[in-house]
Amino acid sequence: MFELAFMQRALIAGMLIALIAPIIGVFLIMRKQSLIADTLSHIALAGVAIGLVIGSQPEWVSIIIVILGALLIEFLRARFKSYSDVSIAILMASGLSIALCLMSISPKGSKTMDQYLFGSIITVTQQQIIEFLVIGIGIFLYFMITKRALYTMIFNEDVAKVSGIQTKWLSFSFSAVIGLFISMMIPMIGMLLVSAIIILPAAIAIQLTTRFRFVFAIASLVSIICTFLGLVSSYKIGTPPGASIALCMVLGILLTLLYKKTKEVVFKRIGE
Amino acid sequence: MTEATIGLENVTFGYLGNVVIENLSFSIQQGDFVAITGENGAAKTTAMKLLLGLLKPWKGTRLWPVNLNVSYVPQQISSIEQDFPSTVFEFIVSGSWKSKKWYERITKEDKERAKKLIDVFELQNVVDRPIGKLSGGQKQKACVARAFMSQPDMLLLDEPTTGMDEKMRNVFYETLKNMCPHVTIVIITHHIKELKPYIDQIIQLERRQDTCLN
Repeated sequence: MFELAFMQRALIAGMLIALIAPIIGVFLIMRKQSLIADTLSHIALAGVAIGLVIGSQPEWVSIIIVILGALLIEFLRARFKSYSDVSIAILMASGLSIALCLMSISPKGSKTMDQYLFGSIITVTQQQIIEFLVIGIGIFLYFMITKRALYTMIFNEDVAKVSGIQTKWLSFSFSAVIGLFISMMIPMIGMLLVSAIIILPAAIAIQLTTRFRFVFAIASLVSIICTFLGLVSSYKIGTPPGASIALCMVLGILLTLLYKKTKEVVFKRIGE
Repeated sequence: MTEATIGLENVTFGYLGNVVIENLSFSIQQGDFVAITGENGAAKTTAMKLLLGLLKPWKGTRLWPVNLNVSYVPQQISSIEQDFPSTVFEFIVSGSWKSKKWYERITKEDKERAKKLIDVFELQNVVDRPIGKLSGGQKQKACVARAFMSQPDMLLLDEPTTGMDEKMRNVFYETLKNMCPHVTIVIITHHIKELKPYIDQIIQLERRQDTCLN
């Protein structure tokens, strides 16, 4: 099946996502911000709707709106530390309601809505892959450079500040990078599943290793395997690719939890 | 290590219009072991954060030398998440990142220093365990060991003995005092009697009558 050009493009796009999404996921879980990916995907949909209404390219408008949304979340998080989940709920509702209202008045609305809600990795073009590759390399470099600073900031913001880390800048740039990545992912994976693709492999890796130096590699490996299996099963069974990949990841986390529980029981019995 | 003075001069600070520190002045000598003490609500943590520059005083001056390599262990650091993906060894070694560029690798010397700190703070048995799964006292020790990794000129510790019993606390003070006699140590504590044999200076803070407790 991978002799077909559209499947080759889907595989390349899927692998690019699989390499970068888990890195974001690990840091989001460590920061207890797993829902941010979901919130930003809702905001992205509002961006697409605004793009359609003003007659501009929805993808690029969406990127700008998502980055602005990410910065707004970060601002609200810093402003209302005890109620940061409230800001997420507000922005999620705002994003979706703006998107639904604007799309209802746009002639191309419902068709585009479907495209962005569910996405389709098999319709990805060569141009999109090149854009994604360039942005993906940029994001990867960003995480290589800031990995240690992010670790320190997540451990404790004051310790990070005393160590000379510009925590405000780091937080804003982290959110902006996530926003950028999510808006690039949405046309391929779909708004509804973006969060799963980012968070689930990271969650599996955190269950499988306690070492920071391995967690990213394991998360990316899990993501690559699930993406491959998801694409193959989607082609063979005829299920939507994004949903198939996400389902493989759900299965992965269930198996991981089962493995951990079994291991725990076995060790307990040996101990007795 | 610089010879310049460290301290606060006539500093006033408050939260939401409520003054918690008024005209506070103190200076710290290089290599001293200093304790900040006072009842709950006496703004001990606030004083430490003002000294570190994490808070900006309303009035007064912070005396702080340029190029001072400082490490800080905040209060309730033991609240590190259980699933924080990092072993105790990795966590302690991460203290050396401070003096490195992003592309510089952890050296053999860094690992050796981390091993020594693990021995000093008696964390040998938990070295490969996730940092989030240690007991409160062990986490505190790991955090202090991490703070020593960057070979600081000055170490500021906010109630580092939380979660430790009296015996553990005494061993901890002894370790701090003996490990690096040239390092300036500022420690916030409620156990001033236990700490007295080790310290050179006590900064006693009083709670203002109009200060609300959180």
